[in-house]
Amino acid sequence: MTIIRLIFLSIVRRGGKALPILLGFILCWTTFFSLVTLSDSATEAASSIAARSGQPLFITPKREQVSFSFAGVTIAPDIAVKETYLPADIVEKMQVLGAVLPKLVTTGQVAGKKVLLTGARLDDEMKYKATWTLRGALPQPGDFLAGSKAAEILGLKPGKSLALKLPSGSILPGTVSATLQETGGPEDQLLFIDLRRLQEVLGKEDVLTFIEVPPGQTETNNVQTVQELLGPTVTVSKAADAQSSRLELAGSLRRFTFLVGLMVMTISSLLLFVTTANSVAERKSEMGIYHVLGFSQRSVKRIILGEGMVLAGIGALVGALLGFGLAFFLLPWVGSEDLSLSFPVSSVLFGVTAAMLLALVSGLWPASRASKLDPVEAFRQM
Amino acid sequence: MSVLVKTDQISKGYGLGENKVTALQEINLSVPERSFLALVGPSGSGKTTLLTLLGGLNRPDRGTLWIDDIDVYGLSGEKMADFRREYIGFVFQQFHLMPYLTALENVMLPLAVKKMAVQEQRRRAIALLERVGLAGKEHRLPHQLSGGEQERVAIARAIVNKPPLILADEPTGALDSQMGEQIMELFQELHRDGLTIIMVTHNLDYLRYVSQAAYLKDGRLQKVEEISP
Ligand SMILES: Nc1ncnc2c1ncn2[C@@H]1O[C@H](COP(=O)(O)OP(=O)(O)OP(=O)(O)O)[C@@H](O)[C@H]1O
Ligand SMILES: [Mg+2]
Repeated sequence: MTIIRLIFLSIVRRGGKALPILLGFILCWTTFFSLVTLSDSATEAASSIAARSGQPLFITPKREQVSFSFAGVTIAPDIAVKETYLPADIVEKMQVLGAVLPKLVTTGQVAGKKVLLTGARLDDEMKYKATWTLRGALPQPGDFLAGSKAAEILGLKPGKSLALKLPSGSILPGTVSATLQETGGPEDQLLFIDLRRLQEVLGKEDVLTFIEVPPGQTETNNVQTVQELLGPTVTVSKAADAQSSRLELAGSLRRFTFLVGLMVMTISSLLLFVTTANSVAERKSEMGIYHVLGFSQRSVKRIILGEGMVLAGIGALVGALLGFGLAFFLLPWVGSEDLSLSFPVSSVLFGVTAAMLLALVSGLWPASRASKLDPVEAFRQM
Repeated sequence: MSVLVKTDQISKGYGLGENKVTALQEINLSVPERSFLALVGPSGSGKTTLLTLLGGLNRPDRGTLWIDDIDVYGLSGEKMADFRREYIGFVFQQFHLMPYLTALENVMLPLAVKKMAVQEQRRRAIALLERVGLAGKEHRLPHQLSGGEQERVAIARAIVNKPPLILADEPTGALDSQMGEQIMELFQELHRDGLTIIMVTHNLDYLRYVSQAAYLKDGRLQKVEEISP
């Protein structure tokens, strides 16, 4: 016989007595761990998407008018009414920091339908837009590239020729060399052409509408760094896009999980305190036997605390496994299917340790009270 | 023969002020090694009180107790527990077994706080259960044993630590006379093997098993007589 074996026998053989508290623990920790698993997965998914597609910066001219938004970023008040441009030399300034994707935007008409025509360095765009997949041949200067939606609406196919009417009334002819597969981003709506060519056609060789800085170009794509470099005449902003709202959601799920964790800990220590205090009263005669057999107060305390700690540990462990299982079922309900679950080993280890420490702390007072029972008192109750 | 247990002027009362009950008054008792002493007296005469005091389960209001030349009441709480474990085996009328431990586990229980290999614990406990006539019933829980069998388990548990002194409070009180005789025979054997036994009993028939009888009345020790076999 050892103290540890004694603890296990008292839990196992008196199963019925230990069951309610064990169930309480399991319930608490199942809730907690399902949330931990879900928020871990959500965070991981959000940050991996963010890492894959990144968050570009946008550099636009400063202006006072009411703005209109493009890709979640303010670009121009109304391009048709009053056009504001960036000086093209900003591109050189920005090149100190890394690659940039300068763009010039204008409106146009194809067969009577309005479209936004964007002049861009298409080779560079292809290089930095991981989500871009071409259908057709790589565009040469003079060729058009159509976003999926634009192609659908305008009836464009790779190889088809096209006459685009510019705001000035002149016609810009060319061939659609390729279309883009749908990305879910702003490019779906756009028609692209080589930047230099558009600048020449419009007679705006020295200006740009905005500059996109692809992710990973400046050290942290830090808005402030770029703003300081370029001065107050331009606006530097980050896209408030789907990725960042995903990250935000994951963040609030984390905070909620943290709160639930605190609640779980409070509830389980209360549970433990009450049951330890009660069971000590119920088991007075056993305490008497321990005294009579010459167990020291320290040994008796160890037995009582040990029982609580073992129950708490088992509760946390089973709760972790059930919680993980529950998270698996809840997954489609809270997020998209591409969330993948990973078993949070470190959280489980932390939880089991925390549960056992809590059991130790909340059992201290009842246990020491039990161990101090007057031996004769205890033994007369028998 | 040397003296194992010696008390000097032990007095004990319960309660406070007007409600104070004097349970024992100035008990001077000396028990030689290897004796089998019966504590006899009417109900309420203080037998159980004296037994708990002799076992260090309780402290007197006044007086001193030496066991094997140790001043028992001079020991601190932890030391007193160690002392009980090493020197004394208790047996009670109510058998006081742990209900969720088997006979074998109950006998091994006192060894849980000793540094003894589990194999050695088992070996010792099985031998003792065989000795008290419970071979083959080692793995029964207390409620699967008769009263007499439970009492035997309690006796085996009391001697598993090889204490020199056994204190028994009416160990036959809950048993029918046939089982009572069997338990008395077991104690007699333990006595012959060299244990010192102090036993409370109501049954004067059982005095034929003992070597001495001490008579208590109203908390006072009336007389101690030798009983020749
Ligand atoms: N915990 C207690 N509180 C108050 N009085 C007590 C307590 N324990 C015993 N007494 C009193 O002390 C006296 C001696 O009691 P004790 O139990 O020692 O008697 P006993 O000889 O063992 O009696 P019995 O043969 O009935 O077991 C009795 O008057 C009893 O009422
Ligand atoms: Mg009594």
